Amino acid sequence: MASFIIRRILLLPVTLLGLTFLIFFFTSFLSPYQLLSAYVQDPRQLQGGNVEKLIDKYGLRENFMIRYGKWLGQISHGNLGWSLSLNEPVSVVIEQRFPATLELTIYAIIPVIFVGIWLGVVASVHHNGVIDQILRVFALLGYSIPAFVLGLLILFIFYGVLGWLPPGRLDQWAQMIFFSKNFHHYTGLATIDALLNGNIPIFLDALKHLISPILTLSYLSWAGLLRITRSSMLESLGQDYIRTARAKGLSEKMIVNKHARRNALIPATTVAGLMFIGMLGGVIITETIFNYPGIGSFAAQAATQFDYAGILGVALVYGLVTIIGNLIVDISYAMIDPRVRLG
Amino acid sequence: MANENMLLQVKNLHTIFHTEDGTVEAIGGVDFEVKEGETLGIVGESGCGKSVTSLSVMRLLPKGIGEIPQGEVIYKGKNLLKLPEKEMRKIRGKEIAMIFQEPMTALNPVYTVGDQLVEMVELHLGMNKKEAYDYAIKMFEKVGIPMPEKRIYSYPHELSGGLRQRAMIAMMMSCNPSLLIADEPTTALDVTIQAQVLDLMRALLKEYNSSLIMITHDLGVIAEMAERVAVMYAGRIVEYADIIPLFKKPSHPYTVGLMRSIPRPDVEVDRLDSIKGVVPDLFHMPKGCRFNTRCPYTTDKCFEEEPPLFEVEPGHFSRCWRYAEMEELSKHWESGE
Amino acid sequence: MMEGFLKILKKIAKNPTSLAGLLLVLFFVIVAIFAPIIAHPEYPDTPYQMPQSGWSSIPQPPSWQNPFGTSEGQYDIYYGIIWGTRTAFKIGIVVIGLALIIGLFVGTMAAYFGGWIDEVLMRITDIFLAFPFLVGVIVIITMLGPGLTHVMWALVLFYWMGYARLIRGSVLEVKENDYVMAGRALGTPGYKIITRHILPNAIFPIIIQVSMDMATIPLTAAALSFLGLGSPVGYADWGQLVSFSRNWIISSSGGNPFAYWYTITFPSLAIILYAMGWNLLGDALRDIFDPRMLV
Repeated sequence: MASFIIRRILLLPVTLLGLTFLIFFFTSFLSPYQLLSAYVQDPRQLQGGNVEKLIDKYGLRENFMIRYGKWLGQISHGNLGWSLSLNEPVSVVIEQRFPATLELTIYAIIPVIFVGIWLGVVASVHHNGVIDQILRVFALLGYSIPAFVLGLLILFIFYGVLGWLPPGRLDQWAQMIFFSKNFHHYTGLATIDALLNGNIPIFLDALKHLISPILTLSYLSWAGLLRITRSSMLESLGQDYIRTARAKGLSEKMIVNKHARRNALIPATTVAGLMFIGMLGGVIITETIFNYPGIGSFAAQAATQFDYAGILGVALVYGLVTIIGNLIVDISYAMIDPRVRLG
Repeated sequence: MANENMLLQVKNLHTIFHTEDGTVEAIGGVDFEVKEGETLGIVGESGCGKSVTSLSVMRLLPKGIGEIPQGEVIYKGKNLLKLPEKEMRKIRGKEIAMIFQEPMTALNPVYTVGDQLVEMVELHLGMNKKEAYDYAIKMFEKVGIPMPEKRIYSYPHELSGGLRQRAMIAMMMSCNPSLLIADEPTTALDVTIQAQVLDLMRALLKEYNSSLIMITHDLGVIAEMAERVAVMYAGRIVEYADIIPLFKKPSHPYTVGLMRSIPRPDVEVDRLDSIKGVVPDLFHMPKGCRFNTRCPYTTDKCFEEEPPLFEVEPGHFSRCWRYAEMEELSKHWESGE
Repeated sequence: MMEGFLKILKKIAKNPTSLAGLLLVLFFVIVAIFAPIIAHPEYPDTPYQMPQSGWSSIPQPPSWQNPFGTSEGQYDIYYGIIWGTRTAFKIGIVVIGLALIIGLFVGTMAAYFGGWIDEVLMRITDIFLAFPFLVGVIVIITMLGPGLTHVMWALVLFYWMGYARLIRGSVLEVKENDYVMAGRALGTPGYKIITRHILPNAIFPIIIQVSMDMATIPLTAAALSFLGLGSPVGYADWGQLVSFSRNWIISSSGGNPFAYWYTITFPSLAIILYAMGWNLLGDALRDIFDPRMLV
């Protein structure tokens, strides 16, 4: 097991290199002038006749491999350029906004993984029963309502009509406290930091703002995970080893919860990984709908405002998170399925 | 017929399957008995109802698909078919255990073989984890698995086919069952390993004084293991006899055909005789005798009426209209192409 | 072929949800085909441009002239939905068609030739797959600039991998079959084996996937239009219609948000029914073609 994880971690740098290559490859569409923003740390650098000098300095007219090498040098020093859309260095933007997105994604995915799998098991055990049918409709709706429609409908009902769940990350008053000097930012996650600071009102306020985006972001994943768990449970329940378990006199509960579920978790894990990556894309839409200040809304803003440095920075963060996500999936895969671990 | 050492009596067992294309009868009226410490062989080609019989006895037919509309399975005086599911679970594994053909798929790939044995003795023998693991090592040792204290932590895919089947046997014998049902236990194994596994089973059965129902398509295995034999064809028992009378005086053409399919070193033949054709599928059973599509000795009667079980001699039964002539007829076996 | 088609239709008709899916899809197909009759364009040269009945920014409720009301900027919602159906089909067919061609090429090459060709092609596929779909698409659109054509290119660029893998898998499966082996042994040329034997056998999983993607792809494009990266303002597009409604239905200005219900209801309904139709149809096809999933 340990050697499996070590092997996977040793592979990380290779994957990372491939990823940066792909991202930088996309910049081939851009002129040196457009690309320059990805290197500048402050717009004042561009004053006077400095533009040409900087283009030479960063080798933006050189061939692709040289440009790529110099760019790698820049990003490895944490210089991601200047965001035109927010007028801040991209690294600062990411540092400020990443925790917000992380908070949203974590709260969205964890219940899905635990409750979604459980519901899928329930549906398979009561195959074609009432619960199964209800969950089926629920899953079908999940597939058919795109996030931007669902988000707007939720916003319409719970904010427009009922006024309960406002957009944004925190109310005005809460922001004043949250960004004040006395408030310690241990994790960057508003809910956790509020609890650690002992500030319950802020915790509740943060929660109130999180509910709608979480629902929007996770509905599709609920549907997906439920469906795959259900069908792989049904498949697993038809296997020979289940017959053996029955022949051993094990109870139905043991058979479902131990023998069938563990095997059904293997495909479910793959799907959960895909869901997570899908969610990373989904935050772009969700955060935009709810004015939630995270990486996703930044990506949408950067894209509409030709903020090349911003979008490259976002792409890097996304790539990194995806790779880590895949690593976690691989490791959980190996924990569930001994055949992978040793293969 | 309340015999004192009678362990299992199956009477007039019928099993039907509800499929998408309609309901079919997989077994139509099967009777057999197993005495304490005795081995019954059930032999026949695949698709003739052997496995369904064993699953019916264990009540392990697929839920909602397989059903037993009539018949009795009397085990130690109790009709298993009338038992509540909870009671039946105490029978499975503890009283009647079962070994399957393909140990690769019959063992759960994501748990160690030790764990799969341990959960069973925890359940039936009430041991705690520690005792159960020690017991598992003992059982593995008993079935001849080398380095048992290490092997109990192996996953099924890490063991060879022979070791997997040994682990399966260790598991199924772990609760000292009175009856073991083995469904083609050696078919998936190499010939040499086959012999070892059969020897092992025989030794264990003797030690525990357990009975065995050996299900196989291989008369050679039957000859080695069984004391009594039921030959099944298309959901019926077509011949039922002690082992020696059966081999000496086979009284059903299907049995004769099966015996001719065994390669014999002492007789030189150009090629192996085999029975032409295949078992008819359940949706298209012929009228009359079910073997009439493949039988070389058919008469008009065979196509009109299904024969009952005739008693050839005491304790030897055959479901053939021409059972009396079989000895003479079998000298001229016309195998198909 | 015709017989098989009828058999599939019969099976679909037996299951009410499958039938509903098929009917929904047929409905949208008819709407797309007859769009010029159902919603007569005011400017025949630019039929995708939604007609405006004024310049006021405030949406107007349904009336005789605008059966579904008007959105902000007085665009006719009814017209937008009808022609938006065409937009959806256009995007779906073009993007899936192109992705399928790339996928077919890469997948068959990789599986048929195997060896290092397979290795190289599959690693490239993996790199593209290592990127969240929507993020990749947005990066490309940023580089190319917004617009429907760029959106389609970006979608193709990040969508061919699924098909490539699917086709590679199917080809690998069929490749081992006796008739393919026999063909190879007899010296039948490679392209003939591929078109005669391999592709017809790989076609069913592709059909299922295409049906699902006919929902996913146009909706992704609509989402991008919603973000302001897709179609230009006034282009008949469901995503744009939905984005028009945003400011009115949350009505922070104190008005009654229900007053503008029609701005969100009709476009959402079109989107949901469209997606549901394809998803149900895809499910039905899967049940028919892949008995393993029939549960």
